[in-house]
Amino acid sequence: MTDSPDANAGSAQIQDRGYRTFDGERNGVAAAMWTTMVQGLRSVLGIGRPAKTKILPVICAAIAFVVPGVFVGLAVFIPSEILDPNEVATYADFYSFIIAAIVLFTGLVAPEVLTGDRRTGMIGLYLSTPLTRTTYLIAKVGAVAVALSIVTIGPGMLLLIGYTFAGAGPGGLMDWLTTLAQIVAAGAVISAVYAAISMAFSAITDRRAFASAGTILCLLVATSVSASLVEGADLSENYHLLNLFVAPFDLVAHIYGETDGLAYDLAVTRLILGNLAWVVAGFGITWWRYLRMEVTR
Amino acid sequence: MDLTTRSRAHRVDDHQGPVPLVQQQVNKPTLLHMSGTRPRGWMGSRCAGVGLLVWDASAVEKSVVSTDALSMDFKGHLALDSLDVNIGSGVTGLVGSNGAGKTTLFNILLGLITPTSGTALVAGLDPIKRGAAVRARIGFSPERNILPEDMQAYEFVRHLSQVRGLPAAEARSRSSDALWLVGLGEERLRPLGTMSTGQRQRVKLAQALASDPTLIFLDEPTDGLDPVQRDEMLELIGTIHADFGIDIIVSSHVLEEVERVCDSVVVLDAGRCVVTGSVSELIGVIDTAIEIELVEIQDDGSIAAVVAWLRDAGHEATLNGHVIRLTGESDEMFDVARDAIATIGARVRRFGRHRTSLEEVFLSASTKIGRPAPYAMSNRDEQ
Repeated sequence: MTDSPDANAGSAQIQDRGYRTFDGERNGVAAAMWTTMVQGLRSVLGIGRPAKTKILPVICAAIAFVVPGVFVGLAVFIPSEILDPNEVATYADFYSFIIAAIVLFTGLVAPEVLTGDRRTGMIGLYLSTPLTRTTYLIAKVGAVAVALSIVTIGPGMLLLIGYTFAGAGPGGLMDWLTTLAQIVAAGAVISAVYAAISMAFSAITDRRAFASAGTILCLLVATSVSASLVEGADLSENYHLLNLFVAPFDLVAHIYGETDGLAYDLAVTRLILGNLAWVVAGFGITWWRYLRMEVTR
Repeated sequence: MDLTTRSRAHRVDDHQGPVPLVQQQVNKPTLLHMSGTRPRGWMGSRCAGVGLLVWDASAVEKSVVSTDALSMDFKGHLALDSLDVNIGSGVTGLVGSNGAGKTTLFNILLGLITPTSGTALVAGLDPIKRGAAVRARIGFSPERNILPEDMQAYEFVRHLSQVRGLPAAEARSRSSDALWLVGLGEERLRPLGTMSTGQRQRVKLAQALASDPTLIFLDEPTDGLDPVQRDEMLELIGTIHADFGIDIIVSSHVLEEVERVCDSVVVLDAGRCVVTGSVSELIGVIDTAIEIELVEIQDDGSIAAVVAWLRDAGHEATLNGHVIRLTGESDEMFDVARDAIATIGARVRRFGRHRTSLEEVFLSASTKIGRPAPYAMSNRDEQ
């Protein structure tokens, strides 16, 4: 027997509340920065956007993760007596296998995060909120760095977890945690340097393609310039710090303690200072540009 | 200049600052000064020189936005020139031609740029020193219509609501509510790139509205809209203030729009305040003249004949195009005009008392301060 209409009358509610005032507590600037960072990350990865915007990030991630995936596969299917996975590729030198993915992703991320906001006028809307230019930029730096971490930290993590399950991982909990910390630190160094470079180019031009091309060209040209200065002009080896494939990756090798195969004998302190200089220069240019930028038209 | 009290209106007179058009209803205490520095709460403007200033204590509490000698110099280009305005609650029109300083004023009030000199207060807070706190209370809809093309309208509004401080769950529900309110409920999941200009303007309004601000800045909200969309947008703006009590400052270069939707108006010209006051008083100044607009068919001379008839009857009648202006005691003049039209057999398009339009007020003010006629100001029909 069904209830009569009157029986449910007391529990009836109007679900469509319509527009109304909000009396609750509002979140602060930190929450605004977090939301902006997450939105930037979604934008880079094409989440909530058409399928075509997902293609490049997926390709980059695929390149970056296929390599450690193959190593893990070798560790699983080939006995360590026949082939020791840690001799095929160490945590430090496997970056050389995925450098193309990292460079490609670097050229993609910051232009997507920064130039899009300027072209669409979103920056004017962002700065009409509690965000300031500085807090906005910090949120964007976070988005770029986290996005780059996908290809700088993610593959190392996959390698560590894969090797661990294949019985070829670090021995003991402390070694395992040390390796984990090394992977995070190494990825953070590469992310910071490459994020700074790509953000500087993205701050200079409103054209995404120009920013991407500029970033990738900078990485390549810096290599040639440093080689010319050291080998052509016979200047100090310190000029190798201009080489964006040497400065961060040599520091990464030091983080893992695998310095035997390094081509140049650059002291750790100089490597740290060199990388720091790139980071300061890149973010400095970005900040300087944004402080002077007209954001509403 | 306080715009809170509808009975208060000012206009520029003879190279002086805005002076009270209607003084008798100004709230107590009322003091009149001719010059000198003044505490906050002084109404009036010295933007065009030394003006007659009116002190209104209630203005301090009621003021939503106030500026004091606010100037902005962009490397030799004076975008704002010692601007003093005091805007109360309601819907206020910020009117001016292109380059008058409207967007610059918005930018300063949002704390996006630092003025060269002078001060501004929004809800009692300095937007330069306390920008984040000020912006947390404000919704802003920019002029440009370029938005992230592949972002859904709902996502766009939700995201900005969260950035403005709403908790995630509240941002989700309020974004939908705001989009329904502006008439885009069914379209809320469409990418912005597929939306028309009118829909984008509504989305911009929705994002400004969704976080429940106390004040909304709308920069040219009817830009690019067709007449029907324009009517709907103006109606929406009026509804938002009337139903939810949100104060709105809307910039426009279309005076007719401001007349329709705004309670008060601030007219800027070359960075200076040339007219400010309640719209109902500025445009409601009625003189004793009546206007008769006639239709002339195939040069039949009926309009000239009506003018001649009126003059023969001893009345002062002037002709401007198809509009006859008849001066005299109004009750009698209506009868006289009716008789003239009936006798000649002329066809009437409009017949009524002369009302001052906002454009006439602006024209008059511009002329008195030695500016040319408003070069970019236009009414809706001329756009």
